Amino acid sequence: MDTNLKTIMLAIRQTDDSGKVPFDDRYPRKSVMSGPCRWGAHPGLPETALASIGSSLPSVSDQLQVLRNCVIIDHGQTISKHVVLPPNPSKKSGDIWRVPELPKKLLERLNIYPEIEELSSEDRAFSYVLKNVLNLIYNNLVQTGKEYRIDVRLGTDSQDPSDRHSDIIINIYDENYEYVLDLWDRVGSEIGYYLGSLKDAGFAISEADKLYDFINVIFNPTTTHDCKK
Amino acid sequence: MTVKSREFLDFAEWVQKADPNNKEISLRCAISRAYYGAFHAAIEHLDLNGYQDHKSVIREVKKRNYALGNKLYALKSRRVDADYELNKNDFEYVNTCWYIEECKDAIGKIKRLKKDAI
Repeated sequence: MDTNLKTIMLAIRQTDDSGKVPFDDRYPRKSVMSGPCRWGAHPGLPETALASIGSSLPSVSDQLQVLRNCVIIDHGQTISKHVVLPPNPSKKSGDIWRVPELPKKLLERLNIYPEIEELSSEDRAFSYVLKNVLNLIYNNLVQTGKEYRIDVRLGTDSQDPSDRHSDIIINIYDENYEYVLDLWDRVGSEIGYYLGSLKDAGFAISEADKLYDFINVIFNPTTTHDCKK
Repeated sequence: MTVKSREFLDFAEWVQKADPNNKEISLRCAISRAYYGAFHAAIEHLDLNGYQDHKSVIREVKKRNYALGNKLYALKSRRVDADYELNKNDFEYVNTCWYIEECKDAIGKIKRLKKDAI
């Protein structure tokens, strides 16, 4: 994007009293085109504030360790005894938000639409969470041994264009719909648990809630071999 | 209340079976009614009478159970296609059967969610 245009867009971007860009502005399409994030999780935040944020994060690895060892109980039902949550971030504050790598085998079956790529490149917090969610999905899919293809796209409601979501659509090759529904429950519950844990991992509550609402995981059973590459 | 949420689902199944030719309009109609079966079940069983629009109901369900909220969201997206995207031509009998099963599954989980909350 042209530098002058970036400057203008940055200037007209609304800010709240604290100087932060309101979170609501970050996920609609218009914000995808807005100015650059100086620091992923809180665009527009002065760099001097990073130290104070970092200092509040040492408990992240401990929190994740607790989650890693837990058994998820979902409405009275044990859904998984082997929850594999995202890897421990380093104690060094600089590594806390390092966006995780995706396995090569997943990348071969992954199609991220341009709108999501753009949002991901502008918003490090979203990118961080999205990649962790994709890794969680991958870990589950590998265990099933099923063929799959994943599309990540910006879902919009034609009746309500302001209602936008990041839809992770898992096209899975299986004719047993019941099995896919159960898998959806299991994987969905793990991801819901992970997204719910963001509040304890250094995210602002409003930001964690937004991400929880923004990201959807949808299983789509297919009887064709379209998902085989 | 003169109509129960269950009746939407019953009607969806009736429409689907009533048309031996599985015309697209029957399949679209079945999808639309089945979704409303799940949507009204959420309002009815999760005490969401104050929530009038789909977005709010789905968000509230998602807060209580992420996977179930995702399912309701996916069902709604397909319902919007069935009602408004008239040029889409991927409405087939098998897909509709799957969709209705998904609605039944969602309704069952909504009821269980209510039961567990008590």
